[in-house]
This record gives sequence, structure tokens and C-alpha cells, in this order.
Amino acid sequence: MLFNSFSFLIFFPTVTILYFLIPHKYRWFFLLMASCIFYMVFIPIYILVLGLTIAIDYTAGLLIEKTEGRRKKVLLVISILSTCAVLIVFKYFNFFNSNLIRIAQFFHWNYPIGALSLILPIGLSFHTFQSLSYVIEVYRGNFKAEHHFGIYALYVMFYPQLVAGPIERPQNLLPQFYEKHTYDDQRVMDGLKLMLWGFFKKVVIADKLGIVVNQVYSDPAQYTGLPLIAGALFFGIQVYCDFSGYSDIAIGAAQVMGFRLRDNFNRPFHAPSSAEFWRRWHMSLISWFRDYVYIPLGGNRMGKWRWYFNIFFTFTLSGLWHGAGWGYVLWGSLCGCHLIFSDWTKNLREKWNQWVRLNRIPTFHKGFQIAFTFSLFCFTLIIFRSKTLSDAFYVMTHLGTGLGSLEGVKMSFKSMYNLGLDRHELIIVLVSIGLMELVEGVESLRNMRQMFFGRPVLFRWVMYYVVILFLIFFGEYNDRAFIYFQF
Amino acid sequence: MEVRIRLKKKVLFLSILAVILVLMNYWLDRELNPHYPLQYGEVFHPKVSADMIILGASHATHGINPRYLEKDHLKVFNFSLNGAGPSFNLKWYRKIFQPNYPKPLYVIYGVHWGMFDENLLKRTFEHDSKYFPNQFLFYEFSDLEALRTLVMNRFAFIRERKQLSDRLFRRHREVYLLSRYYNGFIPYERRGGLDRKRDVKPKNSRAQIRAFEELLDEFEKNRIQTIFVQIPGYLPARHDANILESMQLLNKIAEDRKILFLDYDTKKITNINTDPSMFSDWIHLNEKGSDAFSKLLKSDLDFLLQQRIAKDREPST
Repeated sequence: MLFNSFSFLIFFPTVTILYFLIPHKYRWFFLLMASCIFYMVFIPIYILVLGLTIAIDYTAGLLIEKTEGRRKKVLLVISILSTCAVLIVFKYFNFFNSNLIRIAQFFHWNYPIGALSLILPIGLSFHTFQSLSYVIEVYRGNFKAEHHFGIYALYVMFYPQLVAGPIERPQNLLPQFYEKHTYDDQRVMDGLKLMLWGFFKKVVIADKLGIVVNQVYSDPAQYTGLPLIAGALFFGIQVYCDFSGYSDIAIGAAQVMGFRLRDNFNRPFHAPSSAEFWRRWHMSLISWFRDYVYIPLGGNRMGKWRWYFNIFFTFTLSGLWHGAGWGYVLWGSLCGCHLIFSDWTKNLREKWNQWVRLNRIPTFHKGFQIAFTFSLFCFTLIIFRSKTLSDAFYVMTHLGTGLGSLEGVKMSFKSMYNLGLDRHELIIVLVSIGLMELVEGVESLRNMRQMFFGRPVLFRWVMYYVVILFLIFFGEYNDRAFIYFQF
Repeated sequence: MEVRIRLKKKVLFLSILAVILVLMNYWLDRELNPHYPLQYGEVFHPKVSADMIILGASHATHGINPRYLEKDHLKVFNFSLNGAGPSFNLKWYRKIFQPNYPKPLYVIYGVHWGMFDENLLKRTFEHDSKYFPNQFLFYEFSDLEALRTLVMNRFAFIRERKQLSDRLFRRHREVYLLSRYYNGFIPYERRGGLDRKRDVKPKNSRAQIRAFEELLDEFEKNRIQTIFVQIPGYLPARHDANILESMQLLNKIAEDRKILFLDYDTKKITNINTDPSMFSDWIHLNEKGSDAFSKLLKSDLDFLLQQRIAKDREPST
């Protein structure tokens, strides 16, 4: 079920009201059933795939807790491999297989294995990672295995974060299913406000920008200059609004019922450096890779070159997590390379800043850093969004084409109106982005959960009305799926 | 005490929101699509009781003025609705028109090369829920999607929300000239778009073709004479090759059923087709164009109608 669908408009209040009406001891079962319905709206049969992952990791958790020594490690490996096997079959098999076919063709080998025709279960990468974090935490002794199968199943399937995160850790979410949540008016209102904000980002900004982005990337060779720049920048904002919008709705929906999910975004476009950016972007995934891949590899404790390798490997793997394609792998590697490069040139850049006296005007310096980080992120996303690597190469090499003269700029600007949005719609979407920046500029991450708390009533109410009216009048309501569902 | 204050605040907040939405609803309802209530009003409470009705989509709503087709006692009403494809018109005819309106003698169906493309003509029966009597509201939906459309379309601030930016930025530009409304016809103001060729190739939907055949069967069964009229489009803005398949299909339907087909878009080409001052956009005539075209249509139809009326009067004389 999509959050921005009519079904959810009925599902959410019904489930929430019933949740508070049902006695505490039956709530887990009710939430589990509701989550099953939520998931089965997509492809019902895939509930069995999810059930298999849950059964594997539930059993693995219990066995690992009871075992010690080498056997414990073997159990962990078996559990990780079995959980990942599901992911590999559905998500990566065809990718690796098609590459093997190409290699076989090159060497004229006989390679008999064909492609599988499977649809990727929605949110598979998210709940696989959540399941893995549970088994690893039990193995490390940081968390006791959950003995209640239903509660464990609910940990994996809890509907607000089932299909696109935030990727939860057992320490945070599992104990909350035992807590008795009562109706707290302030908490419920804050949750609803956060949901409203998420919907604003999704349907008013992301889906509107999506029209331009889809138009540009459907056949980029038709465009040069400004439309390509707009496509690249808009996609960066679209991905952020789409995914952080989803996270806000998920966190808000859970908060209404009394659950506290992890934060997933902390105004990444306000980050002055790439390292800072990745601390603020998709925090639940990045911290997952940090805790379960980067640190076990040695992190930054094993010398500079090994540290660089660890960064490169972790980001390449995160690229592969996003999608089974060389474009995603390359995107991940590029992000890793940029982090390495920025560390490598840190001293040089500081000297340069001193030489041009940029450090004497810190506001301008910071603004420049923020703009550069954002632009660089959008630039790398060209690979992420393009259908083929040759499309990506075309976009990257034609961003400035035709902008050498005033006439060229005028022509390029005019072609902006052929990208699916007319002038007024473009103005409205830019105003909406401005509004988002304003709100995210004045509210810190902590305050987003209690948006506008402590501010004058008039300011708060005006903002609420503006957001609601923008949602009603300027939102795109085509039940467009969230981008991160495909992962 | 605190609970009561909170409750009061919520009530106040929601009341202000409700007032804003009611005002927006009123404004948008009054400003946009003012002709639909009048067209539906005629169906449910016939005043004209037309002998000849005009069906089709927007090109017919804004293209054929009944005033020019009326003759002696022949009364004409234009029931064409913007974006209405054959499946809409079939449902509309069976559920709305037939049970409520006196049987007409003639139907002018404003055919169009894009009429079988579901992406071009998107109007659904549920879209018009606002104009239906209440009993339609509950037994006409078959799934959640239909229910959504039925419920949402009751409110202008939802139904017409996409038009708001247009209204805000171009508030002085009237789109539909209500003062010139006549028996379902309403002129459509010039919106531009005549300066470039449109690369639109219709995708004919089998469901729409089937619905159209069923609708024609209904007319035949009820002994209503059908006439196909293709309203002129702006020729320089169109690629003829794109519409070839649709035109062959329409010609075949007319030929198989022996239906008179007056095609002013690809066969009976006149000055109208190439005169930009006649069009509001590349497929819609403006007031001047619709006046010129309706007069032309009248003269072509006269002979046929005289024949039919004479035939109808024969038994009584």
C-alpha cells in the first residue's frame, strides 16, 4: 500500500483508532495483521518470502543465543547467507548472471543458465538489512534473542517502516512492542504534523519535479544545457523529498501510535562537506554499513590506505544495495572516491582558502561549501538516474552545451517550458522548495518531531494552512510509487 | 481543563480550514466549467426536450452551436461533455439520459480521430458524480478507485484544484464564456498553441471501440438516426500520418452501419481549417469558428433533415 494512496487514507485512521481501542495484550497481533494487509496490497504471494526470512532469522537468533564458540559463528554465517540468498535470488541473480553470460560469450563458452523472471518484492533490501541487524546484534551479545515469534515478526513487518525504512535496530524497536501506548494528544498531533510534512515533500515537490526529471531522462539526447542541469538538480531534490518524505510519514505514523522510529535524514542539503553529507543522508542505512561493514573491516584504525579501501568498499557496496546495475555500483564508488579525495586534499584546500582569504568571510565560505556539496551530489546522481551509462555520459558532457552565448542561454531557458511543467507550475514548485528550505532552516532535526513547537500560534497556524492548501491544490495525486520502494 | 482548551483549538483550526475550503469551493465551482450543471439540468429536468442531440467530447461542446441547427419545430441540445469518450457516453446514455429524457429523433455524434484513445479522453462516469441525484452515489461504484472518484468529485476544490494556478495567474482571462451559453454549447476562449506542429498519434483502445459500437447499437435499437460529424481541426498543427489509422476505423464503422459521415477535418476541408482566428487551440474552435462551422453544418444537414421530417409527418397527413 502506498502512503500517498486513497487506500492508506482509509487504512491509517482505521488501524490507529482500533490500535488504541484494542487491549494491550492483543495489540501486537492486530498490528501484525495490519502490516500483513499493508504488505499484501502489493503482491500478496510475496508475504511467503517475507515469512521465510522472518522464520530463518528468528530461529537463528534463538540458536545463536544458546550456542558459544565456533559453532556460534557458523550459525551466524549460515543465517546471513540464507537471508542474503533471498535477496540475491530476487535482486542480484539476473545482474550477475547477465554478466557471466557476457563473459561466456566473449570466451565462446557454453553457458546454460538463463535469466529468472521474478518481480522484486517491495522493500526487500530494507527488511533484509533489518533482519540481518537483529541476528548480528544477538551474535554480538548486544541484544537478547526475541522468544516471541509474533513480536519478532512484527519487528520485521511493522507497517510504517516495512517497505522503505528507516532500517531499525532491535535495541530500539523490539522493546517498544512490549510498551503500553496510551493516547497522548500532543504526541498524536506531532505525529500527524510530521506525516503532513512528509506528504508535502512527496506530493507537492518530489512528484512535481519527477515530471521534469522523467521527461529529461527519458531521452536526454534531445536536450542540452539548462534542461539537463535542471534535470540533474531536480533529481537530487526529488530523491531527497521523496525519500525523506516517506521517512517523515513513516516516523509520524509510528509516532501517532506511540512508537519512536529512528531519524533518517538531517537536512543533508545544509551539509558543508561530503563527509558531513553522508552523516545526514539516509542515516539508518549509512549507520548500518558503518556498524556492520566499515568498522568490521577496520574502519580508520588500520592505516591510511586501508582506511581509504574501507571507505571505497563500503560505498561501492552501498551502491550495489541501491540496485543491481553497474550504474549503481559506479555511483557508490564515485561517492566513496569523492570522500577519499576530499580527505586527501584537505590540507591543500585549507591552504588555498587561506591564500584567497575565503576563511575571512565564513558565511560566504560555508555557503559555497554547501552549494558545492549539493552540486556534486546531484552530479553523481546523473549516473544513478540515467537508464544507461552512455546516457549518463551524454548528460555529464552536455551540461554546459549552448550556454556560451546570451542567445544560447535564452534558447536553453525557453526549452525549460517543454519539460512537462508550465511556467506557473515551475514557479509553484520553486516556491514549495523555498518553503521546505525555510522550514528545515528554522527547525533543527530534533524539532521536526515537534514541528514549530514553542513558536507563536499565528506563525504555526499560517504554516499549517499553507502546507495543507499546497497539498490540496498543488499536489500530484497519481499514486506515484516512492523511488526507494524499488530498493 | 487543558483537554478542553486543546479541543477548542482543534475545533477553531478545523473551522477556519473548513471556511477557507468552502469559499474556495464556491469560487472554483462558479468560475470553472459552468456549463456542466446546465447540461445535466436539462437531462434531469428537460425544458428543451430536444429532437436532435449532440454527443461527443470538448471539440463538440465548443464546436457545434445548436442555435444554428434549430429549424421550425426542430429543437437541438448539445450534451457533449469535455473529455467524454465512447465508454463514458455509453454509460451516460444508458444510465442518465435514457431513463430521464424524451427519446430524440437524431443524434449528431461529434466523432474525432482521437476519440478511442483513453489518454486523450479521460472523463469517467464517476467524474460527474456531483451532478447525479444522490441515489447514484452509492450503487454506482464498483471498486475503491471508483469510490474515490465519486467522493472526491463532489467537491470543486478537489475536482478543479489543478485549475487554481491558472486562475491565480491569469485571473482576467475568461476561459468559458457563460454569457454565450446556448443549449449545452459554450464558447471556449483562445488559449494559443497554434504556432507549432503537434506530434500526437492516438492509440485506439479496443474497449473504447467496443463501447462505441454498443452505443451505436443502442441508437439503432431505439430508432434514433445517427449522424457522424467530425469538427474541423487546425490543419497546419497536425501530422496527417498520425491519424490515418483512426480515420480508416471511423470510416469503416460509418460505412458498415450506413451512417452519414460529415467529415470536416479530413475530407470537407474549408477555410475554417487553416484560419488561426477560428481556433482556441489546435483542436478546439473558438466562438467565431463555432459560429462559422455551425452555419456550414446546418446547410449540409438541411436537406437530410427535411427529408426525414417530411417522412415522419407522412402518417398524420
